[in-house]
Amino acid sequence: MNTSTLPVANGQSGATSVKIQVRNLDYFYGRHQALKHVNIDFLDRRVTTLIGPSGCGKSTLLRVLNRISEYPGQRAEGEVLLDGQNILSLSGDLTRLRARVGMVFQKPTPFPMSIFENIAFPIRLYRRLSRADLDAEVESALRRAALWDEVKDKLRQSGLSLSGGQQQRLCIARAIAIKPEVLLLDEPASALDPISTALIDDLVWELRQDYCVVIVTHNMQQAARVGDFTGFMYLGELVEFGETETIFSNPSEKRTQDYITGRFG
Amino acid sequence: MTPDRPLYLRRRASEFVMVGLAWASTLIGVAVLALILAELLRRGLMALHPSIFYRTTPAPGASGGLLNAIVGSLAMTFIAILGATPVGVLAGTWLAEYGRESKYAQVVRFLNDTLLSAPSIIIGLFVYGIAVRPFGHFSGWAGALALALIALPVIVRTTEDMLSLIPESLREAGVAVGAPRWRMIVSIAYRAAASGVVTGVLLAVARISGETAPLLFTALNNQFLTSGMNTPMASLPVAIFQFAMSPYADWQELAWAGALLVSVTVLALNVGARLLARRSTQ
Amino acid sequence: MNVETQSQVLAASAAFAAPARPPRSLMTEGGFRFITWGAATLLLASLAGIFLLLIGQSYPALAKFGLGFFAADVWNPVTGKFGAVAPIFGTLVTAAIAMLVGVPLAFGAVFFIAELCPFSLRGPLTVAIELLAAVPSIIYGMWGLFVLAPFLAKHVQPALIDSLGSLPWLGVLFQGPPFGIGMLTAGLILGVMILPYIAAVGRQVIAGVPPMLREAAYGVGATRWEVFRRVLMPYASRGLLGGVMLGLGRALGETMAVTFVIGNAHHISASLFAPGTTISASIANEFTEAVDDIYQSSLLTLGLILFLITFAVLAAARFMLAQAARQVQL
Repeated sequence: MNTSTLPVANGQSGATSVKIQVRNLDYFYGRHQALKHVNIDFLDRRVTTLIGPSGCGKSTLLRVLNRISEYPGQRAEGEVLLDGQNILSLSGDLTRLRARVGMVFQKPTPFPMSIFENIAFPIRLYRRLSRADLDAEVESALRRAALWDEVKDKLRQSGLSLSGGQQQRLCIARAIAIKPEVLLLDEPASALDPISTALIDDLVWELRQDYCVVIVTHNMQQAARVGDFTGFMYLGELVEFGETETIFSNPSEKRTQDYITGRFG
Repeated sequence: MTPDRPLYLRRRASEFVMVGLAWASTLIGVAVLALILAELLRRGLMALHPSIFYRTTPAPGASGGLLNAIVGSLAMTFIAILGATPVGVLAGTWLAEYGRESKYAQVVRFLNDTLLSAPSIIIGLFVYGIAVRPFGHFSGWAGALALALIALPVIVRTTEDMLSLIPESLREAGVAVGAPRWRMIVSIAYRAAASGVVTGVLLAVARISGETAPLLFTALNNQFLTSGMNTPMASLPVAIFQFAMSPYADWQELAWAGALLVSVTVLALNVGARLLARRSTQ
Repeated sequence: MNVETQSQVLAASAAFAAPARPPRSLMTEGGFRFITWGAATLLLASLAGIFLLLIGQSYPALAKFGLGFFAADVWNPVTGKFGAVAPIFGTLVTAAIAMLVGVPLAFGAVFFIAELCPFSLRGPLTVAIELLAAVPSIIYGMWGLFVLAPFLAKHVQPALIDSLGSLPWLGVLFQGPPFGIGMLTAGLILGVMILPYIAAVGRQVIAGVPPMLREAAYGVGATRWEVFRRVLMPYASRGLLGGVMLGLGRALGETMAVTFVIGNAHHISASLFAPGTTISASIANEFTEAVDDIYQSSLLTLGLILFLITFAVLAAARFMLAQAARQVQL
């Protein structure tokens, strides 16, 4: 089933609109087709989770959304519309696209610089700020990522000195520091302990107020807890897509049901 | 967020400039090195003549070939490798199989790596002190010893690397059938690492084939074809040096021919080693 | 079952339980271990031997000239007076020129290979760099003598002398007759020579940066240069520095590429165009002619100095490369 559009979820607070429309997206790694005719909408100020077994294409889909995965032999066909503009046809400078569509990876990726610089570096790419303003921006990003209290006394230390969970929140802070419109999270908690995972989940729920958030996850509880919408992918296809509650309580596809009840994957 | 337009333009500009510089430096590097190889090929091929392989090096003002230099290089390289290979393989074996992470092994490994890129002229001075001065004359043996000392760290390093690639399970399986450790190493580990060790030996040959500095005052030079290792001995690199610095045009030609021979040998050995390494890791 | 067969079975099972001793071999575990240990120790002994021999043989010169050896700009075999200032100066100046030329070019090439070049070019370029690092130094020396030096003397040096030679302060670097051979030419040749070394190590350590870190850097909207300069280079800094030090060690100790083009003049000159000498070139040029003891001992003292300098640089390089290899992976 290729669900293309969704009714705006009932019972959700706040107005929303379609932020990203994916239309007939095919993706190839050489001769292997990783995505098959995917159609999906991502709504603004909502969290969409993508679930499915390893190799189902969920990470590939995520990585197309800011064109981070551009390696030789790989190509995308179809359309990915960000506010109506097809990002697949962008040529030349992709830095502005990536500033609009931020990304957090499976494992923490602190840059080899201080905690402060990790946040300040991307900010400085886009704005010239006075020292005081920059400090304020860094603080605000760290606060939003619920990390400020833990690091405010060691901003000059290396980002690598933090624990895994802290590093991942640092990466989230870094991603939101440049105020993107979309935030992509690729299994953000897969390398973390349960307490850190819960912190990340709370954080995602907070971020939902301002961003279009897309999360790829292996963790069904995480999907059920934070997602407004959930898409189930299998072998490169988007099998089913709908409100999270519906997907988890009353899926219409047998494969979805088998997966969420743990019969495979 | 509202992007800062001037800042954006400045970033684009610096990207443009730096990418341009990277292109330029790559092109300059490749071009200079291509120029060197082209000049070598041009002058070398022009000077290459069959008589190079059957006439000995000329006396001043006369013409000749490089026969004695080629023979000398082959003999000294052969003996050097013959001596360095067993010592190098055994030392590499100790590092990979016995010493491992012990303090002493770490020291040996560190010093071996340092020796790997130490100035070869120092090796020449050392060998002069232990193998020339005590005997009162330069000799092919001393030249071979100097080359062996340069080949040694290369062989040690590759042997250790190749043995370290062998999975621990293979070692345990060898010991589990009741073989003592040394038997396991000799009949299992060496066999598994054989092509890697050969790669190391080829690289070592390539390394010493072009070495000049350590031969200058060990083997010295010899205008004639020598029958023994106990006399001063000619070698290609030293002959090239001598002829290139000479004022005679035909000697300079001989130098270019010799340089081409040496370079082709070294590059061919490197390519061969590379192919062998690729095949063995697949 | 009769008694006879029973005893046979017993004997057989006993043989199974306690097999005959394996055939005696000449080699034992301890013996093999000792032989390999001996080989490793031989390696160590040769390095110690080099050091001790150099110290012992430089003693006559050091005893005669004292610390003045390191301060005197004199090299006179006729009067038997020797000082190391000129070769040390030449070694440092040529190595500095080499680094000035080689390091930026090498880093540019690493940036190119890592982030800019088409994927299909990456493999061939990598192999080309590694092969070029194997070209014998004598080839570089010959090219310097026959091609680069005449070219510089004819086209480049006169122009530099005319344009920069009259500058205050800096001008002295570019004065004097354009011989072609000299410090500048030697430094340039060395720079070209160490380029593939530094680039080969650099490419390797940059390739070792976790791909996710690269993507994260692109993910915040950084340009290729910003990714390379601000994230990849700092992450790989120790390995890159190790590569640079390796190149420096090479430039300091290189003999043949320099000996061809340095001019072998034992005096210090401010001009980069003037002939000079380096430690290794002095030894290569003069050692076989150095018949009297103090002359030879002076050259061996130069060798000791070179050994100590390069050993320190190379040890630092290896230390940094080892640290880079142990670096925490993401």
